[in-house]
Amino acid sequence: MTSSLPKHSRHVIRRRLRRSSGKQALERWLVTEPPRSDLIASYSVRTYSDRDGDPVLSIDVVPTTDALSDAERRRRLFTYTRELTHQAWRRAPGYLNVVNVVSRQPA
Amino acid sequence: MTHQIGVAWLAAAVLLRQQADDPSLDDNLLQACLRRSISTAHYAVFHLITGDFTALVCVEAHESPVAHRLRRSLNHVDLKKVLASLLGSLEYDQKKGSGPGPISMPLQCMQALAETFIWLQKAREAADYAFDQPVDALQADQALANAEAVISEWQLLSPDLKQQFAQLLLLRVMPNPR
Repeated sequence: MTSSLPKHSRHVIRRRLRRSSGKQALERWLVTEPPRSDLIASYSVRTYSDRDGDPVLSIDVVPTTDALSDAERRRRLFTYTRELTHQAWRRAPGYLNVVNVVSRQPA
Repeated sequence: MTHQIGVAWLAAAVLLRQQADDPSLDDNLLQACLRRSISTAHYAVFHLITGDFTALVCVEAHESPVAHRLRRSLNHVDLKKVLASLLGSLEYDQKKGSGPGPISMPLQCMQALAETFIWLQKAREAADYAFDQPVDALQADQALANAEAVISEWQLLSPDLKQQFAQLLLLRVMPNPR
């Protein structure tokens, strides 16, 4: 019996599986250890390939209003995003992991 | 010398960011200022690292043709691959035969610096090429904060560590032995 599903090379399938497992690993981690609520109002995880085709996992974080209220708090927020980045590299090795501070979640 | 270059580029990035606060700017100019600010923040670190790399592996004067060629030999992909290897993304070593190979332990103290530089690379790519995605001021602020942090941390690295890192970069840019 022939399948009507599109045929992909093993390489493409493996890459897709790996990418989804990395995203899931980050999502699981963020559910069990949520980011600091005094600094981060919401977050989302997305994957994409960079210009060289390397896999990137991005955690997009929307800061709380309070976190942006003065220079010192903003500095603390950016320092914290570096800590989150560090954790993300440990939780999902084999990816380029980034934490982006954004005003609102990407559509 | 290279530290001054990094600081000068960072100052340019700050000026571009400040310009974006001008309420008279239309959307196109605002986007241009923010994108250039992020890109310039990345280049502050890129020029600092490539400058130090050249100074560490080349005995010629900073502006000599050999030094210039060495500096130009290092590109964004090379830096990314070496830094990703430092961070334990072993795939980069295995996939590309020209990777620097296993990284020795002392370089692990460069981890935070490497992670943040890769962040700056990805932010620059988005700012310079992803024109379908608007950039907001917060991203530019994050880029400035991250570039400043990397420049400070780079200054604190011991000369031995910088030398070791320069050697890794050199292995990356050299063609594979046959």
